[in-house]
Amino acid sequence: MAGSISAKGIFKSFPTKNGRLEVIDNVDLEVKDGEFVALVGPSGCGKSTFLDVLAGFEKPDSGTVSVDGVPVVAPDRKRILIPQHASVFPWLTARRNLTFVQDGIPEEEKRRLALHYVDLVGLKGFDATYPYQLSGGMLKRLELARALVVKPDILLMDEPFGALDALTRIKLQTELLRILTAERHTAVLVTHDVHEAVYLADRIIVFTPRPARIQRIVEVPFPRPRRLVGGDITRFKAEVLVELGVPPDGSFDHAADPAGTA
Amino acid sequence: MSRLRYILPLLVVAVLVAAWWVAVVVSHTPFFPTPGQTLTGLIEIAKNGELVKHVSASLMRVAVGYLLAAAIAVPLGVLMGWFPGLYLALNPVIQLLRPISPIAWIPLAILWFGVGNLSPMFLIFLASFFPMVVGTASGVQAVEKQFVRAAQNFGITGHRLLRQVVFPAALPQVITGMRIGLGVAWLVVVAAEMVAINSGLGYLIIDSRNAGNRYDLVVASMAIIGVIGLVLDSLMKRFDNLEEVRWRYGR
Repeated sequence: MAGSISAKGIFKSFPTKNGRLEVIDNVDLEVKDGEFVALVGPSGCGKSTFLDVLAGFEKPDSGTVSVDGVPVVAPDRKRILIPQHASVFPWLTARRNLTFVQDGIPEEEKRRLALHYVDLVGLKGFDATYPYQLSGGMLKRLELARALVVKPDILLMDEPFGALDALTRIKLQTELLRILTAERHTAVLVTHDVHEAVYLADRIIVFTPRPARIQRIVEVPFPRPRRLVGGDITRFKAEVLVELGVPPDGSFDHAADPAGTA
Repeated sequence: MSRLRYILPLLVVAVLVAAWWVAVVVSHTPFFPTPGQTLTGLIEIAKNGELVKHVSASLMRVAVGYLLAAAIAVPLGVLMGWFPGLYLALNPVIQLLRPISPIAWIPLAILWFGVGNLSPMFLIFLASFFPMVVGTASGVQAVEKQFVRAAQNFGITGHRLLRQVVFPAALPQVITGMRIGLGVAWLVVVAAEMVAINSGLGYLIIDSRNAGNRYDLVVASMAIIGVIGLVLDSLMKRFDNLEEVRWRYGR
């Protein structure tokens, strides 16, 4: 399965009343086929916008994004973006959400794949349920199933677990790893949860406050499955947190956070 | 609680009817009927076929005018809500025409469509068209962007996006607009039938007054209009229970 991403010299700004707001300032990023990359940074730093550029929802002011050497000009079902808030269609049942987005295969096959992915994400028995009847965690599972059913090369996730309670979040992170191990997608995850990034990613890209620049790229040295706690992991997390202006003794450097985002 | 939902309103109706009865008897009014006389009048027109004739005439006019309006207003509203240029072009005209009461159109309706069925149908069309086109357009404009983005991400574009994503996402508000439209249509048909036409509940009211001050039939017709309006609205309300729109209210 292919899915290597190459972003070169990305600039992006938005018009506002007081002139243009610089959001992304010359970002280069290479993601290898099958790699899991986490983008972390203070909230509002432009990492979600960067994900939109990778997906093709936003055009950069300058710079190019290409996937497997082909320039990205528009959204494509080979790169599915999972947004922070639920985007499954509430007027369709869980199963029909999954059959609706499939294309070019017989109905019988769509149905079979839909049920397969509903089961895979742990929603067995909920295929006839409408989204509004599902809990927040189950909605995320459905969102993931709908993304996977079209067999995308790349999953782009924008703080997918941000709105969930801590316990559900941990469960879903574990499930996501299990599923990605089986399906081998390239994954880019935007998060402000350092723990989540360390637990899931092969590489962590630390962004500066807005406009987003790459401050540091960190390889996560631990083999999977990773333990949730432990001396090495804790030290490593502290190291990433220092990059974000949060030293281990908890004393917060306000100078490093001019936007007051923390 | 579910029993109270019926018992309490019925009690209020009973009290009002009793007050009406007492007021008529105490005041010795020569014209205004008691509830008993009204009921007798209702039974009279039910037996001689007048009631069915006029009710079905009114319902038929509403059905034609309203369905024609819905068939044009809903697709137009979807397009207006989706294409900002079309909205900019058409919305001012719609907002200008909308405050003109359909009653004000009666002279023009008669001039254009004569004194037959077409005039009231045209007035009903006008009356129900605007709430439906405005409700649908604003429903489409309020469709949450993440549904449209998700659809585009999966390669759903063009008229398929409009029909299978934007329209179902706006459907709860479309139905609300259709419900308001039907309510207005039922209001207007009675007024439209009071002018130059010889059937329908509006005609029945005017004719009962003119032909011998039959105020029992006037009040009976009014009660029937109320009951049918209530039935129409509760039928429209049932659409809110469809699985395809319940997500809007189900949380």
